[in-house]
Amino acid sequence: MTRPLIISFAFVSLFFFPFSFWMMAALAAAVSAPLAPFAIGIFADLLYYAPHASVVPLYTCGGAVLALVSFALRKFIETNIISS
Amino acid sequence: MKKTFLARRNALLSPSGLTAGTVVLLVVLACGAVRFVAPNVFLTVFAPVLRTGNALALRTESFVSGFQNAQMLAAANERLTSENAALSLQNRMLTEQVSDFSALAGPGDLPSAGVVAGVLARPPESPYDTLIISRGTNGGVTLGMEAFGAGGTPLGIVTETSASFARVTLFSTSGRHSSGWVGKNRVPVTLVGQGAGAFTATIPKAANTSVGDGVFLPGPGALLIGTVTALESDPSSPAVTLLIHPALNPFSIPWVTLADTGAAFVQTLTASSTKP
Repeated sequence: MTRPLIISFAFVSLFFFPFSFWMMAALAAAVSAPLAPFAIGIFADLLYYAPHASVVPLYTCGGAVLALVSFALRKFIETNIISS
Repeated sequence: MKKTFLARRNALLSPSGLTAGTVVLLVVLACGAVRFVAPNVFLTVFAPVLRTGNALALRTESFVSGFQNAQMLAAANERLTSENAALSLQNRMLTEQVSDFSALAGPGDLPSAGVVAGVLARPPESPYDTLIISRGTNGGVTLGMEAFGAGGTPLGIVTETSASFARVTLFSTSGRHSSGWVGKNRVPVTLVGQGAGAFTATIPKAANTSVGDGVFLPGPGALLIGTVTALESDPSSPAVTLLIHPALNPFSIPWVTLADTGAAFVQTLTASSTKP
């Protein structure tokens, strides 16, 4: 029940809160769902990215990196739990 | 002997985390398809949410300020101060324009009244220093139009349009270069956007720029965009870096006026060395 709430809150915060806040929300969502920050990054760029604002859509790229890190950390934890 | 297989279960590492993320990602990708195929539909769907955010921010401010008389007075004072600042800016800009035009052959080339549009989203919610405005091609907005705030302060350029909405990229977008002038002598500078309305510029020490000097962008004459708030210099360097504070706070822009001034074309050129 907590997971959908965290992810929903991260998406809603895109509309209501400063970007530093929703980036923290995306970070929190990454703990429960690794693909969530990638989705939030894409959605942020869909909403706010405009041509000439940046060469690349930064928040999609940032979300992808965060998702990869989240996957790697989960794999690391999983490996440690199984091996112990 | 028959072996029974029991799947290892862990509350922290359940596959539902992956599943939830996948579902969300698929929904967002569907939104992305709508955004590129029908950009107006995408913003029409989300505009009410953005408007709700604006309304909530306004109501929260008035709710909090309603607790005490002192706070109400402070809010009124803040409103009057911002109005005063806008009028002061307008006055200063008009003075500069009169000064510039009187040096030329005669008056003219002032932009028409333009298109007024409400701002749906602005920094800091928007991370790219972009504005989403509630007028599009149906309202007379075209690509390359220049956006002005209160007092005629230049803000940015329309870089994306749909039927009912448009996106404005601010001049202060991080890393963006704009040609302008600084000080009474209109020393040409290249302004580098730093985000959140701020700029930096590097000019020779010999230009004798000081704190408080106005910074201008080309338009009809020289349009005030900010004020020099600090100078950073290395004693061994012949140049000085200007830190420029915006004339208008981009975090609280309620509306913009759009006019076709040719700013988009000017942006494609290198730094101009001519006086306005």
